[in-house]
Amino acid sequence: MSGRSGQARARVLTGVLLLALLLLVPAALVVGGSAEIGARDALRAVAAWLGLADPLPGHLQTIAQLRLWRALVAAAVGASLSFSGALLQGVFRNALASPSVIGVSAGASLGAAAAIALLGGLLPTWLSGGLWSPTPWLVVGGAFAGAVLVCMLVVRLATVDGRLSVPTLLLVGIAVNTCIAGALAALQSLTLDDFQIARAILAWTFGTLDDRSAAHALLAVIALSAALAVAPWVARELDLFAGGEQDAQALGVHLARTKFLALGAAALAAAAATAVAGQISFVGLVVPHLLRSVVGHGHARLLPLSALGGAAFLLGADVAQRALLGHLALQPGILMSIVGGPFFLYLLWRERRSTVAW
Amino acid sequence: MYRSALASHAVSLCLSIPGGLLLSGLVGCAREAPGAAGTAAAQEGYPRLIELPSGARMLVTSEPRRIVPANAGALDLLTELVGPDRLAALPRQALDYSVLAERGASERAAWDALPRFERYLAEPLLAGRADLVVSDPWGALETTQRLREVGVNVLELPDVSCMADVEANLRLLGRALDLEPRAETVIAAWRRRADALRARGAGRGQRALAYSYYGSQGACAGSGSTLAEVFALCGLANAAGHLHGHASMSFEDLLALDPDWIVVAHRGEGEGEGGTIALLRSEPVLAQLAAVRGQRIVELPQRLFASNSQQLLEAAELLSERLERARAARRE
Amino acid sequence: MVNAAVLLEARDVEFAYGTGAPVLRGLSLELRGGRLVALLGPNAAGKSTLLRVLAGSLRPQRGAVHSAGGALLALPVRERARRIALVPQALSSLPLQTLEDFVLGGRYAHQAGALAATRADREVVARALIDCDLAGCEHNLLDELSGGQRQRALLARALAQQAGVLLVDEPTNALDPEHQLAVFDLLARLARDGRAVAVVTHDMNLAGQYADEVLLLARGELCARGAPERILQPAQLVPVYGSRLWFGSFHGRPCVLPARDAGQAEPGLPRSDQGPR
Repeated sequence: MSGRSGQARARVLTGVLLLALLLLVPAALVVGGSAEIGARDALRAVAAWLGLADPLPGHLQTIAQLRLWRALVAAAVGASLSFSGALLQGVFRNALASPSVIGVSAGASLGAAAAIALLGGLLPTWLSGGLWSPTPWLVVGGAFAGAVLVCMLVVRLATVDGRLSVPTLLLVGIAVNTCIAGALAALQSLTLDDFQIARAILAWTFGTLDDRSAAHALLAVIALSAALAVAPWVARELDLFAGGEQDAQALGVHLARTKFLALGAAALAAAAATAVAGQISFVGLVVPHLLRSVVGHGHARLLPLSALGGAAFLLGADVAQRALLGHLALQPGILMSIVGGPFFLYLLWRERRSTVAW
Repeated sequence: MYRSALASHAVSLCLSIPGGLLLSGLVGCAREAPGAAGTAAAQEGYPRLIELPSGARMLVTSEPRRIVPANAGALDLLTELVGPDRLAALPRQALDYSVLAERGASERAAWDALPRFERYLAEPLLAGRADLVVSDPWGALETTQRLREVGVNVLELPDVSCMADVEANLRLLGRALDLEPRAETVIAAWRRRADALRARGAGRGQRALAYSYYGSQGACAGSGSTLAEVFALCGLANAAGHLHGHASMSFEDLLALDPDWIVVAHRGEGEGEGGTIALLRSEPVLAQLAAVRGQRIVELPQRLFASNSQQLLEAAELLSERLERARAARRE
Repeated sequence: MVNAAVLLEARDVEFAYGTGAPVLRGLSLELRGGRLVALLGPNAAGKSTLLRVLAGSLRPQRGAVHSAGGALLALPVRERARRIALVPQALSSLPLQTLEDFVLGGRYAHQAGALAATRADREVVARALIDCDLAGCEHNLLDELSGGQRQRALLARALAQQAGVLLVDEPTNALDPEHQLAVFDLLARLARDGRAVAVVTHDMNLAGQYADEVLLLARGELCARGAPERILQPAQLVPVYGSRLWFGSFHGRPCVLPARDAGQAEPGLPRSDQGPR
């Protein structure tokens, strides 16, 4: 497709995704088995939350708010993971890279669990003190440190002489994921004797979208916007990465700075997403890939649309799941793995056939 | 379009929609800050300030009338203190794992009529207008947090490893419900049952092991576990007393311990023989175990095998009876 | 011409990949504005490596490359790309872009902070596409282009960089004769406009016809340099390439061809303006 039509499609898609989000948030307030909240009540609940109307009677207002947080967290987490995936795919020049595949999400998990263990499970939940206490920032900081370490490791191991080896990338991902799963299990069994830490880690590692708070949503949104702010400084640069790192450098791209910014933003987005909702696989793989087939490879369009598309994707999946399979209470991580696993295999199969060479 | 302009656009867009919603909401929240149940007429005995084992305090403003147990153990304790009319909802499977499981239909009917919820989540509990949730330390922390934020009391009963712990939990619940004398009466009855069990000494001088096999790995109940307490009540010595809590156990360890009795969980009626007991009877390596050769394997219903309430007494009573019957059968 | 400004200069450059044997061994050269220099040498002589060192993509272990008096590697990478354009033989992967977007990549170094191309950028790109005979293919994806078109696309992108120094690595590999000549015509014209152009090539005849100077590289060292008439001679080439070469001349320019039986060629082979039969 030409650049022009890509641009036109990007405009249409932006509109469609924004509309989808606008419809999905109220839908998220309406679906759910325990309490009936109609469309009108949903709007009133939001208005009441903004101080524009009287709250719904009884606990209905609280229930509506819980659903709103869940929706916001789902959207922010989906956006973060997808944005992170788009950045990683740009840096590693491969559609198979994503936070879960190369182990960035796992690194974030381990980092957050280590932070909780070091904090000693001081609080019943790591967000109970709100965003004004240091705990959530330390936990997200731990997750960020873990994610950054994994990124550095992968860059170090998978790039040979400025060129990226795709099999190495995937093997490094497997090794990192395996090591970290082991380390996480070890950390859990080591802390089992300390009840406070053990329950805090346990509560956290069963990542979920259930019963999220305003603090969860705000934390995810803040990290997402910080990561998004990096996009303009790497979008053009990642386009030039397509011909290889040395080629990009010859065109004037500051390699170290671009990789630092892009991987830092990818790690931050993935870390915050993992910290508030646990490990959710494949969003970062599927969404950027689908978008690329619609709007082309230009990162100026791909990066913001990935965030938008990821938000609509995970929120849509969660709303659909609760509307259709509410009684099964599938966690979003499980649902995404069921959908994403086959998709990953499909990508592998396609990758096997394509020989992208100059 | 320049980068910095674009970046600030992205951030402001991203922060303004949900962020604005959140911030204005936080402000709105702070403005409202509802005093929980401010209008309720003062009731006798309330408000009560309960000292929790963790050192924290819980304020119960009025008599809880819509209590929700989050698990079967909590339901067990509640059945001793209040009737089903004081409960708002039950976890879906709790009844089948509670002391009420095998009671007559008439006794269960009122409990059976209570609404059920699938999982420990804030939404169904709020929808059921719960005013006191009786939970355990392993319930989802975030859910507990959300409930407390909107003024629903959540009483987390500490983990249980012996009848003394169960008694302490019942006392705690009694304090929260202003039913201390009732709790003491129940505890006295429990103690009489425990004393009777100890006097009976059905397993005296014998070594028992609680064993489970999960398809790839075996595990046993070491010291500090509820099954160790059940053994103690029956006068049995725990063959795995040197291990702590839920401990893994290989065939080799099992052969080395060679207990007189092996206690396993029964999988339930109509499910056929399977799992642990099938393994014990069919695995050639284990055929030399004294308990296997002497057919001294006792099955306890799953709910008693994994109980953490006064069902420990029920488990010990059933086990004592099985031990005595087995001994009598051998004597004949 | 001889007094034209030195735009890029390598002094005593030594380079090795990792801990391997040195690929360049104490090599010095300078590229002057207005001159087209051909870099000749057998495979593995270090020609491509030399280009990458000259472009600042590789850091020499010893010696340095200087651009307009200052150390090249001390310059910001963007400034380097404004001064030096490198045309690689091929890219390590094929970007899935339209030709126009790809060539716009050459404008990156000139677009401080801007994300979208300006009108001026698009004009430069259009000019470069015309120069490389690619006008009309703007909206084709790179993988829809032929090998020769892709090679010219790389050249067009380098032109869009508007750099004073153009380093070109084997630009005529995939081209038909007409396009080979067109590329060298273009390079010669760029040199005439005042740029310093260095071309790595195996085509000694094109080098002989177009280059102002020929540098002969072997085993990482510069073994000869000078006018094509002086370098494209048996005395210079046979020690480097071996003896299976046929030497002649064409319209007064030296002419060298690979020749199967040249090893047994009798000395004093007649010089024919028609070339070998």
